[in-house]
Amino acid sequence: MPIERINFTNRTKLTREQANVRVLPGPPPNKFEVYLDLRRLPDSARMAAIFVEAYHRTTRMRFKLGTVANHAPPSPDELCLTEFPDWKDVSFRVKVTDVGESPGKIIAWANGIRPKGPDDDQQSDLVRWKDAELDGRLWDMEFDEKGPIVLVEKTVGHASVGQDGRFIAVAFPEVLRRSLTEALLVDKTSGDDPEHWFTSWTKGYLTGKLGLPAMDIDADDVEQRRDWIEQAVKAFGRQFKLADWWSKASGTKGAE
Amino acid sequence: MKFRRFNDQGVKAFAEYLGELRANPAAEKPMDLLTDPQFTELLSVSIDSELPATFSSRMEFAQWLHAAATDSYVDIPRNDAGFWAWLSLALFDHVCPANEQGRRKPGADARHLIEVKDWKRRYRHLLQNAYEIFYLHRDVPKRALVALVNPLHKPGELTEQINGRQEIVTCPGCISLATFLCVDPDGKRRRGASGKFARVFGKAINRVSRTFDIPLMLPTQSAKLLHQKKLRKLVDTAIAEAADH
Repeated sequence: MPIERINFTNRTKLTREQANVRVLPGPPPNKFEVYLDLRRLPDSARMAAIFVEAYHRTTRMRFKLGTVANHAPPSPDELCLTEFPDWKDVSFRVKVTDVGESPGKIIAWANGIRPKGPDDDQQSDLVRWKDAELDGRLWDMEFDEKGPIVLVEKTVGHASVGQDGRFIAVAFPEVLRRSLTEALLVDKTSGDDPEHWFTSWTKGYLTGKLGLPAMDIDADDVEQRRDWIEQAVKAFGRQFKLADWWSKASGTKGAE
Repeated sequence: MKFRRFNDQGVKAFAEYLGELRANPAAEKPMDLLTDPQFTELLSVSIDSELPATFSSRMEFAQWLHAAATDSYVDIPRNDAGFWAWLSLALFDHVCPANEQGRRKPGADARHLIEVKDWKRRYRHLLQNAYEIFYLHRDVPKRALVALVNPLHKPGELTEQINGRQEIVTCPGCISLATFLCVDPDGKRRRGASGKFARVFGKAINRVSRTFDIPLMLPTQSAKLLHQKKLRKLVDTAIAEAADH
C-alpha cells in the first residue's frame, strides 16, 4: 500500500510559473535572478519572509528576498553563486516562511528548481550522462529526483557515444521509452506535479515539440499509459528519422 | 613549514606505508616523503605555518589550518586530494597516534586518503572533514561544535553519523540544533548524544524541515518541534540548561 504524506500545515507548493531562477551570462562567479509570482498566496502571508537557497552536495547559500508584500532582493551583485564552481550543478529552493504568529513555519515552497542558463530558453537537456562501470554492457539507465541519467561504460566515454549516430538510432528510442515508463508506470506521476521531472518534459518537449496530446490519463489505467508511451516513442522516431542516423553513421544506404 | 602536496607517486607511497603499518604497527613514519621532490610538489597557493605539537579537538585543528591560510591571504585547497594526503602524513601523530609501545592502528585508508572517485565518502577523511565542516560554518564555527568537539583521531560515531547527513551538515539551523542538544554550555558532549541519537535526529529533521524553516529558528524554538521519545531526554536537558543560563 503506498504511503501518502499528509500536509498538516497547508503548505503551498509553488509551481515553476510562480517561482523560478535564471542564471545570468557573465564571468564567474555567476549571478542569478529569481522570478516570483506570489499573488495567489493568501493575504495572511503578506508579511512572510522569502528565502532562496542554492545548494549542491555539501555547499549551500541562502539569500533573503524581503517579504511577500515587499520584495526586497539583494542587489544583483549580491545574488552571486560565489561558493559554486559550476552553476550547472546547482539546484535552488524557494521558501516563504512565517516570521510572525508561528515563526519558522513554511507557508509555501518550491524545491529542486534547476535554473535556466544564460543560453537556453525554456528547455534544458532531457537526460544527463554519466560514466559507469557496466561490467561488459555499453549503456544502462538510472533515475534520481532530477530525471533520467544515461550510464555509459566508462572505458568507452559518454561524450563520443552520445553523439554517435548508431547509438542515437538504436538507444535513444529505448531511453525515451524507459524514461516514460519510469515516470508514468513506476512513479505514476500525474503529469502536473511541479516537483516531478516529467512535468517539465511534458511542457517543454513532449507536447510542445513532439506534438503529443497532453497526458491526462488516470494513474491506474496502465494500458492507456502504455499506449501513450508508445505513441511518444513513435513520434520521436518520426521526427528525428532515427533510421537515417544509422545509415549516415555506418555509411550504408540500405539494400539496393 | 611550507605546505606541499603529494603527487600520484607520493599518494601511492603513503598508501603503501599505511599497508605496511597494518603488518607492522611499529613501522616508522616516512617523514622524508614530505619534502622529497620525487613525491611532492608545491601547492598552487603558498601557505606556511608551524605544525602545532597538539590539537585538543577537531575544532582547534580547523581553526589553526584556517588561520594558516588567511594569514597567507589564500584559501586552503579543499578539493586537492594530494594536499590532504600530505597533511595527513605531516600530522600523522595527531590522526594516528602511537600507543605507549609505539604501535599505531591506522584504520581504513579513507581516514587518511581521500577517495577521489566517491565524493560521498570524502567525509571519512579525518582532516578534510574537520576543515570542511569548519569552513561551511566559518561565520559562526561554534554552531558546528557537535561535529568538531572530539579529538582528531577519534571523531566518534555521533560525528560520523552527523557528517553522513548532508541535510544536517550543510544547514546552519540544523547543525546549531544538533550542537544545542548534544554539547553542554561548557563545550562537553552530553551523555546520550550517540550515533543512535544522530540516526533518530536525522529522520526527525527530515520530517520537520518539510514544514519548518529550521535556519530561521533559534535552537530553543526548533528543539520543541522534536517529539520523538528517543530525543526527549536530550531536548528537555538542553532547554532546561538554556533557561538556567
